[in-house]
Amino acid sequence: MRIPFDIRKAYFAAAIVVAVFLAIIPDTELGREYNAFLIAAKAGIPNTVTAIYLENRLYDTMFEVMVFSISITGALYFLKKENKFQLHDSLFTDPATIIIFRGCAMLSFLSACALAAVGHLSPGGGFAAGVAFGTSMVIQSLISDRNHLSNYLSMERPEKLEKSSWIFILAISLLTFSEIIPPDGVWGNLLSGGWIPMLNILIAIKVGLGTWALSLGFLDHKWIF
Amino acid sequence: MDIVFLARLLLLSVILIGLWGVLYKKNLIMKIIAMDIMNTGAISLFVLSSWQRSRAPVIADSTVKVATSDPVPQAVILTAIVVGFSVLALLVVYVMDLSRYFHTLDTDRIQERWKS
Repeated sequence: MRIPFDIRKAYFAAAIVVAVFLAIIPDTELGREYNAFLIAAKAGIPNTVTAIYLENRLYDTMFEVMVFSISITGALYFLKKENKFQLHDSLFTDPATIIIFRGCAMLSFLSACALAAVGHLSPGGGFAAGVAFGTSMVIQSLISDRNHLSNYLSMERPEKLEKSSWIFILAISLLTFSEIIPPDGVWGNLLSGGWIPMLNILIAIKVGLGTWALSLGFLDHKWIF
Repeated sequence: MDIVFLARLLLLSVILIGLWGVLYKKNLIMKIIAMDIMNTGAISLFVLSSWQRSRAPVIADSTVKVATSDPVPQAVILTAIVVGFSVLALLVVYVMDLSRYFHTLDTDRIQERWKS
């Protein structure tokens, strides 16, 4: 189909108009500090960002992790097409590299545990912890022998575990919506805030396993290596 | 001038540069990178709008009122970060599949070979 003028110039001009509008509108400061205290007091946890995305906007988070799950399924479908997989031996065999990578994997796994456990008390939370967990797993898969690893851990295992952890997130969200909530603990305690610590840990497991499954798909693909 | 206004102008120009890359670059990988630049600019714009020269929105004591950053834009944009990552992964894999079929990443050549 032939377009009489370059449609891209029209898109760019419209974008410039929107950008100028966004640059000149004033930034309102109305009632901001009040909002933060109200949200924290209602959810019963100090971290207000976690309180918003796991209590006020729980529907949003629930279907966001579903979008993540579906996109990983789609990416692995395209990667697995035509059976272009090959399991390679470990990419790095140098002993110094292996020791450094093991240390990095250990550190990022420990930081993932810490971020997931105290995500409702300090900055952090489920998604950051999930990315750290996935990073540690990817580093560990880079240095270990994949043929040996695939004997007791199949390629599909992380993907299946990820899908099943979404069921748990859905169940806990439904419990929250029907107001079956465990009793609030002491403010700032590790076990306070209802289901929020549990949801943080489940989201961390889910995001980490999804990242790991996707990275294993890329690593085993013939197109790259 | 206000530093917040200057930072907002910078981030809006980052978004416009990303849009220029998406529209005018010929290579599909370059298009994906430009889209990620746009995504980063939009996320940083939200984070900037919550910034008030103050501390993180973690409240140690619910009785003492101190000025914190606004938690609402940060919590809203957390969704966009994860969805942006998902879209990026899916696009990269789809472009890999396209390049295996057409043996090129150039959009004009793909359009020519699509007809034949």
